[in-house]
Amino acid sequence: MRPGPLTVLGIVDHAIELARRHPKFVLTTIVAGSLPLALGCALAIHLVRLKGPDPAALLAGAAVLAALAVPRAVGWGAGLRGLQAILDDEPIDPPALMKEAFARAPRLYSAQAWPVMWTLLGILLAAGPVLIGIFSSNIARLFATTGLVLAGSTLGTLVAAFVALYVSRCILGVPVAATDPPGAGSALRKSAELVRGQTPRAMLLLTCLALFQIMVWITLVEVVPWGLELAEILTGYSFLELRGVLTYRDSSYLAFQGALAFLAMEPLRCLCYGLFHSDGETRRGGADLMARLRRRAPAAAGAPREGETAWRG
Amino acid sequence: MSPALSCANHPERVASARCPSCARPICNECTIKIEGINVCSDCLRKRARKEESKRRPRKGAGAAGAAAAVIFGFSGLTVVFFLYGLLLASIL
Repeated sequence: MRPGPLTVLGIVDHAIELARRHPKFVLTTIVAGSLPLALGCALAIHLVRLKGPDPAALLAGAAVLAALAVPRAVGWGAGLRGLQAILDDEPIDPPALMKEAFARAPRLYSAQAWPVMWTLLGILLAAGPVLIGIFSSNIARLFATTGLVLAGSTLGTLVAAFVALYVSRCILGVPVAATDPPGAGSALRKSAELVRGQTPRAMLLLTCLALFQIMVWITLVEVVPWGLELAEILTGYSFLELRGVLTYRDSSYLAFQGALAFLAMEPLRCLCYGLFHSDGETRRGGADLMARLRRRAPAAAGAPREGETAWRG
Repeated sequence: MSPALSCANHPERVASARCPSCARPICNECTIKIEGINVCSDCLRKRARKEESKRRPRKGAGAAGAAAAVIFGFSGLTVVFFLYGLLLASIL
């Protein structure tokens, strides 16, 4: 019987294992590519906080951030090609992978920018009705405002579900753009074809990764104040000033830790998408069956034939 | 009883089926069974040609499409980051 597709937790587990086994490759491709965008986002939030709303500066900053998404796409491309090499038991050469991914930069960028744009827009569109519902709620007029809260949250949930559905169809865009031969058709269209029938699994993977991302962020935000508090107890020194700045109430600190959390999760995200893609492709192409047959063939050749004893001493 | 129909490609042979696409009578040799349906070789050839022309990228379409995708991606991301900037500026 043919085994079922990899479970979402199986994919995450495999991705963590691969990242642990190849730290240098992960750092020099995926993390290095995403570093400019992560730091750029943190710096942009810090500057917005310091300088306030200035439409021209905001637009220029937004264009810079959109440009910083190019190295991220290249890093992902290199990471996904490297993943393919690891799965094929071939040697990995990060500089050569980056060079190869750079040649595909437009294709990788367009395949990555579209879902990122819809994810960010989806968060805005889903948060809008929910926030309107929450802010218009009034405990003194509970019955009058409950309907509005329910309507707002339902609309927000529906928008989030539709956007998640669309984005989950696009998750294989970058793996397709990184591994398909140049000149092949639209990566996003092929991604939608590959995800067809696997949409709940893809949505579950996205949800898992989003939850992990939030958990890593909260941990990173909380670990520094806790560490400082512990250091105060152990050493007797006072870190009151530092603790006043490094707290979740400070938006710059939150943004910086968010950037760190984003960077920490990037390899996992990239490798999970790659494994999801290779799982679907190998099953579709029958490569998994071939590998299983190849593994079984030597065993079958060495197995005792009918009438023979298993052990001839 | 109606007389036996002869194959459209081989008049000397008796037809064994009728192509559902062009409705011509065809003999065993001209019949190709695809997904349980008997199709004549001419219709199959025509269909294959049509599919191939659909799949073949037009000259310059690939580069233009890639450029358009990059421009749309870049401008879309810029707009979204700008919206987030406006939102953050009003909150912080």
